Amino acid sequence: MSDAPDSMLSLEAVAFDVGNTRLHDLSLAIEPGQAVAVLGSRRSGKLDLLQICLGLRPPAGGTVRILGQDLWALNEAERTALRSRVPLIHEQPLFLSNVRLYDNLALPLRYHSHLSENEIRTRVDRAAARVGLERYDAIALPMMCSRELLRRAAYTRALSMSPSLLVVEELGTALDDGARDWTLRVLLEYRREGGAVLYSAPAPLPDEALSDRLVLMDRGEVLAIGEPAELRRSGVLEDWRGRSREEV
Amino acid sequence: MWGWVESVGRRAISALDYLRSLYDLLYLSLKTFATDRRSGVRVIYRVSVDQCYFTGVQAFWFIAFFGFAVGLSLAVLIQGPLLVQFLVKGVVREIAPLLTSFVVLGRSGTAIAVEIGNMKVGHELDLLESMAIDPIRRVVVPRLIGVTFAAACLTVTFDVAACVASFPVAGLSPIEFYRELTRAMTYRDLGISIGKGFLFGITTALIACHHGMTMIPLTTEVPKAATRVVMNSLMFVQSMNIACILMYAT
Repeated sequence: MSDAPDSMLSLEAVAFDVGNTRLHDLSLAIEPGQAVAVLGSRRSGKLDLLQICLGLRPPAGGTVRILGQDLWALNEAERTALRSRVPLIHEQPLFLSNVRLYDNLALPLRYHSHLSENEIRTRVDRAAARVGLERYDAIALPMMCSRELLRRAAYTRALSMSPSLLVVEELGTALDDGARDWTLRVLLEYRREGGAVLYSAPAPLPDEALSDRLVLMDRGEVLAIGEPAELRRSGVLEDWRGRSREEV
Repeated sequence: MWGWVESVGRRAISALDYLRSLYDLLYLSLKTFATDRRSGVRVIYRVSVDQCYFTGVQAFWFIAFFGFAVGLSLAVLIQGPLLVQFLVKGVVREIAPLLTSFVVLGRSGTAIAVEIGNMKVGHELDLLESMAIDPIRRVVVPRLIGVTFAAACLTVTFDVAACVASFPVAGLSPIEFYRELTRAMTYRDLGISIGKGFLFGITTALIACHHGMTMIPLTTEVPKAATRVVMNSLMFVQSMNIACILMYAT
């Protein structure tokens, strides 16, 4: 464990200027077991920030490190291998529509690993059990499954990869959508095991346990980064709420 | 006068752009296939086999019937001593690869464009990227492999069916017919037939994948993409066929 990286993800002096999003000299580090929320309205640029963290968009300047490795200094194969350790859970559960549910769940493992089919089955089943998806129709197509089942399946697929960092898009929507209990349970359990969580949301979640640090964004810019209590005390959080409400 | 020149120039530039984008897609597909030998090999294999099954196996009996019908009707029209020569130079070398590619285009080219187009509309390509899966590697490469291999095999099926169909009309014993056929048909003829099937297959698949991947992600654009695939593939396949004929006939 001595060579374990200090941070799961770190942004160092990152610059980005595309569309409405303008990031300058942005630095952020997510340590093992931490949960960081990127807060902002729909057009605040939080999706761009998540995509930079995931390596889906290259920054104009600065360094993005995942598990201590400079993502954009690696060659394509190394970058792909590293990126596979950071799965994204989309706001609306996405699946390949013409591929059966189990094959969808096994796809990233089949693609990125050399595990046997039996080992893949074991890892998928273990991840499914964690999110309460013990029984499902493996040969059903995604369009035949309920929304709730697909949401659990999306977490299963992500957790089966044994990720170092879990990125969740619009976590607030999932929590408002009747999936609150199990989503929180899964994320908190994942954190306790040393995994880090980065998620976006329109406003701070009522559960402080998932908000070690907040990144407040508005109109494509990062307004502040800090702990919730500190941001609340200094009035920055209230200011940001006011600006976000104006934009809506 | 200048308006006409401008319009021709604009069309020429857009045609060159189109060619370049097809070349780009082919280059990226070959590059990812040749350079990365580790990621997703079993996924590519599985999707390629599925594609091969859909394009080749499911169309086998149709192509066999089609080849039989074409062979029989042409044999009835061209009865006589030139029949076997025509069978080899006309049907095996020219008609079989061309008609097979039309069937492949109608069945698989449009289906691929619609499938990839729908994947784009449903954000499934974004999903692949978010899982660090290269969409070209997972979506395009297996379709190129599957369609190309199947098209070459279907061309041979067409050749065989056409030859079998013309046998009763030739008025020769089975052994005489076989001897005549093998005397008239060289490895070059067979190579041209299979080579053209291969070339037309990869062209159709490439055009279909290109239109699916570059489509505006709207459901109304999906049928338009399928139409464009049909028109452009027909044009490309015909042009390539002429180029091939000029190449081996001169």
